[in-house]
Amino acid sequence: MQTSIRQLVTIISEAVVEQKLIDDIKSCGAKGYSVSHVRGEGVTGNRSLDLNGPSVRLETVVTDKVAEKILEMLSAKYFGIFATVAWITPTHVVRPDHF
Amino acid sequence: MIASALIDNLLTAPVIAFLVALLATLMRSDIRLPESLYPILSTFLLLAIGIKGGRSLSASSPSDIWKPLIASLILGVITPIIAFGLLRLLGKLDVINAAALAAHYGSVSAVTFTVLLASLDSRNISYEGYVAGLLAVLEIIGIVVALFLARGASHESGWKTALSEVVRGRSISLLVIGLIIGAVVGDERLAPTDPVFVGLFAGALTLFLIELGVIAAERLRDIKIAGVRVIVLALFIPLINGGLGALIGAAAGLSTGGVAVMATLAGSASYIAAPAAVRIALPQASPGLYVTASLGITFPFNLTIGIPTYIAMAQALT
Repeated sequence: MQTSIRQLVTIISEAVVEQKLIDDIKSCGAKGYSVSHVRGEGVTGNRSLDLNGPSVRLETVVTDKVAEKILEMLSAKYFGIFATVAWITPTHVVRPDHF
Repeated sequence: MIASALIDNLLTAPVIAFLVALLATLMRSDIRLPESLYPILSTFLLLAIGIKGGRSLSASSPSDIWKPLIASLILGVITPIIAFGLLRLLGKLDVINAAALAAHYGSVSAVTFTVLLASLDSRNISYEGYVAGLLAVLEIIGIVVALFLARGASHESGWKTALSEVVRGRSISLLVIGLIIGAVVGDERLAPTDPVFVGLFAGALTLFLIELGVIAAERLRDIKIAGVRVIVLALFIPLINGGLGALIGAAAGLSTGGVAVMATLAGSASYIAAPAAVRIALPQASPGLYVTASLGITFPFNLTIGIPTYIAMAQALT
């Protein structure tokens, strides 16, 4: 089957910023996303917000340009401020215009 | 009299459950309840408090409510300012951390409020039922005022998100939904739901406090972050604000139970709504500091000593 390459952007951050993060990736041009609640530990070992639930994992499949915009936005507004990690994985998709 | 009130208050199931869970966790035994239970219990408790409040709201007239409403607006503005001033002057905190903590002390703890209601019920002290509505008002204003104190230092755009987080947040939404259900349906037609929302209430609260005991114990392990000054203030701010709440409640003409509710609302510190709002609006503030102070120190203090003290204040004033 004919597939195209898009970028899967995965962001893990504090549960409190879930809505803010969704708004921000949309304004970067993401058309859709999936959110799940996850547990874990990172270099910040931030457990301070136990009461607001576990961390969130936000995934979105986007074009190269949008992926870059999201990473720039994260560098400016999230990294170093909220306990956040993010990475990009090239992904094969059918129906590239969906992303 | 105060000693016997202290013991009366201590020997209720929620308080003992909290203390036992706290001690057990400090001694490293694992008594955490299943994770999914916590949101179920908090949803149930908030709805039940709301329904209870709405029910008595349907029986009271606007003329009963305006004075207590204004009183709680005044309290909502004053309590975070007092906390901020004390934390700056005596606590030697910077503006951001002082404002972060002030948001917690200006806002209220629904659980402390609920334990107080259980305590008033068990001692047959009556109170104005609509006070659950005041809880919703105070929960928001305290945070707004404290964030305003740090407006210069606040993270860009964090302000708006933080406020909408509080207003649309689960705790306010559920409380308001409960108030509406209670007010619309009315006392008589609510009777069939009583086995769930009234009958199960004390049991659910006890389960919930086991979980809070575990979390409070975990916060207590980080107590060194807070420092002696903040620890002392985390014990005194509730008493100062609580006293003020009692005075303002009495001036608004509330009953003994109503004054105790005002004092408790003013003296309690938020640890669910405020941390979320502050984390977004003031990300530079240390969560270790504000969550430890409100949940590790002030909450256990209020549960054991604060509540009977606020009731005693109310009895002295009315």
